[in-house]
Amino acid sequence: MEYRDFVEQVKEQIQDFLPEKFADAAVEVNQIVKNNDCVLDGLMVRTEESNIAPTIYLNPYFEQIQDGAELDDVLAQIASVYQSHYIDHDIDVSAVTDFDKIKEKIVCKLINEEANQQFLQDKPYSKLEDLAVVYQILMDKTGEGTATITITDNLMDGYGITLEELHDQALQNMDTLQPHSFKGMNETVAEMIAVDIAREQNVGMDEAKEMAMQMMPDIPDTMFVLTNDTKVYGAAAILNDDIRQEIAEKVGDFYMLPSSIHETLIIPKDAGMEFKELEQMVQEVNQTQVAPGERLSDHVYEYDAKEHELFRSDRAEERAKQKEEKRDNRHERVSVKEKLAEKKDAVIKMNAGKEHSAPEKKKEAVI
Amino acid sequence: MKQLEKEINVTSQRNMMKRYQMYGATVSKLTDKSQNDTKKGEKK
Repeated sequence: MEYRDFVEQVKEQIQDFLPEKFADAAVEVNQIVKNNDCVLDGLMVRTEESNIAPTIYLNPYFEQIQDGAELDDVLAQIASVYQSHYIDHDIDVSAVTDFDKIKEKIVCKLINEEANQQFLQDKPYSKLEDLAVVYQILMDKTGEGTATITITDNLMDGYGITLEELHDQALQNMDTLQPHSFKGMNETVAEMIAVDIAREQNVGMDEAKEMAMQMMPDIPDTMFVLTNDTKVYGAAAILNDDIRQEIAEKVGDFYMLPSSIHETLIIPKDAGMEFKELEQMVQEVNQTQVAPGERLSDHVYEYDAKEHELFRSDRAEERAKQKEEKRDNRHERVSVKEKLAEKKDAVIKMNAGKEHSAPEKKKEAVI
Repeated sequence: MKQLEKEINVTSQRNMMKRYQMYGATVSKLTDKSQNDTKKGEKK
């Protein structure tokens, strides 16, 4: 089946997989600019009873068809995801437009700035190296993913706050709304395999994990996965300096590999790997294994725990130079200040021998 | 009343596993290389 046929089939048949009340709903498929300016097909099923409709992107579901899944099973899955995020009544629009009402639901999403020129056109965003941080309202989350509304310039205008305030609020919410997960790559992969084993062989998770560990490929224990509890847009966890410090306490200064917009990989710097080799690896994995819409960056980053700074490894030398220059400038400034202070003292001493005529004025004149 | 849209975001386990496996295999090679280089250095 071709992708376009799949989209048409979903549009025509999705109502058969939804409850009766959706029989009169309006079904649309709209093309929407998503991450890395990829245009995806968003399915919307609008009903009379609700003014908020979930948009489900169809592209990832087509992969299942390509892997041999039956169309009916995929349609049932889409319908199930749709219903789990469906709200059966109108919501107060101020729940989105009033900052006081949404501030505790704001989260961040980390993406590539250059690859998202079109997407970023109408959105407020902050910059970290060549990455961009955009902000979303987390409407709800289930075991199957999250439902979000991206904050646009229009919404931001109504909030009447600064970008810094928005960013700080999103970081503050991170622990509560999207608690981070930092685990070894071995453990992460074993857990993923265990879920399949538990389902296919009908065994408990503990037993499934043990079986998974025996099947595990040989992955060194020097690589860790940093993401959030839903594994959706989990790369943003690296924005939180408390999390970075916590990781540094465990592994020391580290490299951060932008595995995807959903997670970053952490490799301790003392593992002995060169950043050039790591960068080449990131580029190869991005090209061959990461869907274009999920790529975060082709660069490697590193964290300096002492300075609390995350920066691109290929700019490390430049950064070191800039820091040295700043130090020199500061030193020069201190020297000039010291000289001025000496002159000031000399003038005060000279004046002390004279009559006290307008000393304050003279003092100012010297300075 | 104004119509609102919320996006449903999901991740693909299959895609995640694919990239983890390639990272795992490559880092494994790099670690071996790094260990061999260290051993060679010690011998010298």
